[in-house]
Amino acid sequence: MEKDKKRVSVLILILAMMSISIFACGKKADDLTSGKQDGIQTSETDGENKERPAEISYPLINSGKLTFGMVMSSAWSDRFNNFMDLPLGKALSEQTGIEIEMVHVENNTAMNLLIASGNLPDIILFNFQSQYTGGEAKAIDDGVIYPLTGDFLAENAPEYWKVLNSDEDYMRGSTTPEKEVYGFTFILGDEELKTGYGLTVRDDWCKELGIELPETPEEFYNMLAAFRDRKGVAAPLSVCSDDIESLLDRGIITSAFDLVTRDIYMEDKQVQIGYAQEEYKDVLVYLNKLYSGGLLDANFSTLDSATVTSNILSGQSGAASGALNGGLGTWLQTNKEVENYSLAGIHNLVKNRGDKALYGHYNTDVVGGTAVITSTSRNKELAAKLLNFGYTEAGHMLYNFGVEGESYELVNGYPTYTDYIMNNPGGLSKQQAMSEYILAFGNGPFVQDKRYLEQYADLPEQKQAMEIWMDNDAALYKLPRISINADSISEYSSILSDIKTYLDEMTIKFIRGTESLDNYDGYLARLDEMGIERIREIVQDAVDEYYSR
Amino acid sequence: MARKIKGKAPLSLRLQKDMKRNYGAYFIFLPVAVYYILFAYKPMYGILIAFKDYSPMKGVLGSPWAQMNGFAHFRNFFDSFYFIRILKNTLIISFSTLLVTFPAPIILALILNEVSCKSYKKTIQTISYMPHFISLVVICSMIRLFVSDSGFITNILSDLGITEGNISLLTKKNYFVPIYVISGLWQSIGWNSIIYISALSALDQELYEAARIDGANRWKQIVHVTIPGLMPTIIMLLILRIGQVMSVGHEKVILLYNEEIYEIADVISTYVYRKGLLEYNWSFSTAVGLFNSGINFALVIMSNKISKKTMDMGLW
Amino acid sequence: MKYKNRAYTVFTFFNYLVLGFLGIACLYPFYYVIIASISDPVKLIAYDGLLLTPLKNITLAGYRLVLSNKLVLSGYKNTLIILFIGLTINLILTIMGAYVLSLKDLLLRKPLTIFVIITMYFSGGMIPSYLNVRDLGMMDSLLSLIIPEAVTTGNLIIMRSAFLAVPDSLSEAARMDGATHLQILTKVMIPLAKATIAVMVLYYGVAHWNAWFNASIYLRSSDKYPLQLVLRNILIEGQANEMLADVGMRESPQTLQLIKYALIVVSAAPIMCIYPFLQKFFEKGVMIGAVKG
Repeated sequence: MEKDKKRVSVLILILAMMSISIFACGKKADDLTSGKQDGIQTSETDGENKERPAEISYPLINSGKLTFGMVMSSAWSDRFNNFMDLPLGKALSEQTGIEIEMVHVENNTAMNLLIASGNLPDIILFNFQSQYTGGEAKAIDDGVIYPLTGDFLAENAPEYWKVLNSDEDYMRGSTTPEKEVYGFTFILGDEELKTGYGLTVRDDWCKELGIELPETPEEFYNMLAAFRDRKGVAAPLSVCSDDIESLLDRGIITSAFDLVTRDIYMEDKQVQIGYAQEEYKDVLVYLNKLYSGGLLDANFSTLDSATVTSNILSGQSGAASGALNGGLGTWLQTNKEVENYSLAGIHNLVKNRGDKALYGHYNTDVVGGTAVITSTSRNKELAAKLLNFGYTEAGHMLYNFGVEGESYELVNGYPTYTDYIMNNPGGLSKQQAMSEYILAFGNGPFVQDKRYLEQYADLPEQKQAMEIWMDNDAALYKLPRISINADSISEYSSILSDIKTYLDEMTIKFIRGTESLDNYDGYLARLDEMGIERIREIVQDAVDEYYSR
Repeated sequence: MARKIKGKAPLSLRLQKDMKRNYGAYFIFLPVAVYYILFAYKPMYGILIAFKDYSPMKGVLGSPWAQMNGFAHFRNFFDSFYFIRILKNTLIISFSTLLVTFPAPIILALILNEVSCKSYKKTIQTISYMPHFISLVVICSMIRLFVSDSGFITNILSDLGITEGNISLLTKKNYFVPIYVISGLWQSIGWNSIIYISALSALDQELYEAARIDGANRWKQIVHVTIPGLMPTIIMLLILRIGQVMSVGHEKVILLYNEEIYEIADVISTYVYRKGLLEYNWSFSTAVGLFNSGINFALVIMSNKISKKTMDMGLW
Repeated sequence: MKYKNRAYTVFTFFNYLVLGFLGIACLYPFYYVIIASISDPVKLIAYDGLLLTPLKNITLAGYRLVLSNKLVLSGYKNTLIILFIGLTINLILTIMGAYVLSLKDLLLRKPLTIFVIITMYFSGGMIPSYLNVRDLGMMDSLLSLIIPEAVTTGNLIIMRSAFLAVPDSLSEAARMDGATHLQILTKVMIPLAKATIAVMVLYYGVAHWNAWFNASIYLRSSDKYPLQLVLRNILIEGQANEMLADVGMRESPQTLQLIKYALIVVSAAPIMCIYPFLQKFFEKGVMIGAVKG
């Protein structure tokens, strides 16, 4: 039934697209671009007609040249030197009629150095929120980002402006406290796209040992112990320190101990800080128990992700944490020839079997990298026009599916990836092949399409894991995409960076037992001393401000 | 001759004369002066940002002054939880390094001096210089490999029952200082002994002769002739080293530490690095750096004074 | 030879033993790296104790991966460029500066010397220096690794001592003949200070060869990275995805280890072969350095 529904909606979409191309005068952006395919648009389209913004028709002619700063993706950097050499880059330049010169940097640190150098390209695609101290608001304050007004967008990026206006959270997530749009944001067009991270275990071992997939900490412990004792595995749970951070901050294991997440979260719009609560101690006690029982890899703090991957692939461990594609999907695909190897995602740990988890991996609507126009750009209008392209339906198709006939074909109106992507003849992984044609595997200035994920994560194990992992209430607790007030930013980032360093250090020590958990009160007191309450206040202000936008 | 003019003629006149005579020399010095102004003195002006809320796009002058008359960053640092810790770590690492790596080359030089077989002496000397010529990056990665969970040092220590289990030693805070110091010893013992060996070879052979005639045995000769002969060199180098007690270089620590052992391994310079170049708190980081160089400067002046007083020789 | 008593014989024996032990301690780590780089990586991880011979089956896979890596190759190239251009600039400026500061009849000699020496004890520090390089527009260019390192004050002082040691009569005679400063410097001073100049080459050369930190903050394109930074990224940060791409994820940790050992050998071998022949220079250099005070 559901399939039929999908088919119908897809059909309507195609009709909509065709009608656009036939009646070229019509609106360019329909709801395809906002990505919400479920409720098909008709009513909305009429309503917006009166104040339809100026139209931009691509390709632009004699438009000029733009410089574009971007961190190279490791998915293609071993095969290409420049984004513009990719089929995607060529198609983008061709379809928009804009000449683009890339300024590539190796990694996030290098991007920060580029920004600090003051020699800014016209456009920078970067995750300012997590990688730039103080986030977008600070970057505006520092004179890096050129903030965009509604008038500017309506004129130069009408499709993007329309997308922002179509959803309250899109708009809030893309604006600063000063009510300016900070850039062209990456928007998740569907609930499913917001999830997809959790614990993964060796399903075949569980079956062999007659263990039901665990849901509670006890069951999880027993399963790991069985792996250790009966399968002779040296490190049943292989996680590196980043993984542990994910397990805690994404609330994968905290629910069972009445802690929503270790991270900052909110309850009825009241900001709470997980790691400053009593309950966090119980989580640490549990992890310490795993560690001292030899169930957690003894070298977790210096382990790299390559070793974790190797451990789970070679059967040196039976459980790991990972993302739907980067973890579970890749592991299964790598070992698809191996007999007796199967993996399954397990439920985020809860107190009693069958409970819904309090928290889990959950993204805000607006997330990840943002393409911003820099304040030193001499051609801001053209930059806006280039970035606006991602929110038109042509741009939507390009960024999500690539070039028709090469990376996808329309099969009954459903953009279906070709074999080049799904089953690459040159032996490239799906992600590597995708990276040559689309941006959806990562992020960028467009609305991500659910149909990308449906094909990317197409293994039955993945679909199952997705369902299990989604069984949580994270949407209730997740902080919206706030921006810290410019006045408090330097105070906020300096307190928080000290606290984070301390937290990471203490977490490892508590887990290892080099710091006794009896000193947990001392730890809490130290957090107080370092100004945790001030952090809570600042975030609370930001949340209040967010909802008042 | 012109240069015999004593302080009688006015400065401007002497300067004029000197310029005429030595214009070629000043011309030669010009590029060097430009270098120093551009790369040594101009950054000193950048210290201003320690008193400002610096933002790269606004520049040094355009950025607003920090609160508390510009001293907000210093205040934040002194109030910070990390202040005492990195100060303590810097001193611990510095003094343990000094304690171990300072006397060792002296002892090595003394021992080498007693070796009569020339070729053996030469070979050992050459070998002992080797670690000095290997880059720090390579040295540190060797250390990391050797003390990793499967590294041979880890294995041997755990076989001997000194450590438990196969866990990377760099994740245990008790091992960081020993690893840092012992590897430092390994890197520098041969190289640093050169200076003592050359000082020894410069010692007056007649002193030994006299001692021998007085019936001193080899051991007594070491105590009464060799060591006193080395003393000036030892004391001069010691004073130099004490002047650097507050400056533990960031490079080796950065290459070795990890967040699990920040508690013991984080020093002032690495803190400056993380705050400034990883977290982009330019002003705060510069303030911390300035605090450190202030203390260093004071230490150098102090040790210079002491050396002038006690031994009548100084750095300037 | 009465003093050669029995106690002294024991002492001598003990001496030789200690020195022998020291020699082994200095040598063994390098030996270990060499044999580890060709050992079977899986067995190596499991091996317990001191390794004396390579573990079978002997493999050259590490070297194959390292030597076909484009970053390692471009790193070598960049380091050689920096060494060559950097050294040239180092020598010219250091010799010129040292010469002027060694002129005894220069009126401003003292203030200029102080001008130079102050920088040994007081500097802007890490961040202002970084911003300075940025303001001069040298970011992401090899110049940022060459120009700011053009003169090391300590070396300048050593060079100056060498010039000071040249007898005054020589330069005075040249002056009488009407030689300019430049002529005196090139014709009289430099030939007489050759040994110290060799020391300068060695000191500056080693400094350029070892440098990685500035490159890590000034450069952002990997094709400009000098060798040491490439080494840092692979050896310390474990960034070797490209080399591991063909290996497969299962084997990657073991292979990474093998790559690390091979890389250490590849990067350290040239220096280890050269330095014994330079020994007399640097022994001399340390002595000159010691006299400077």
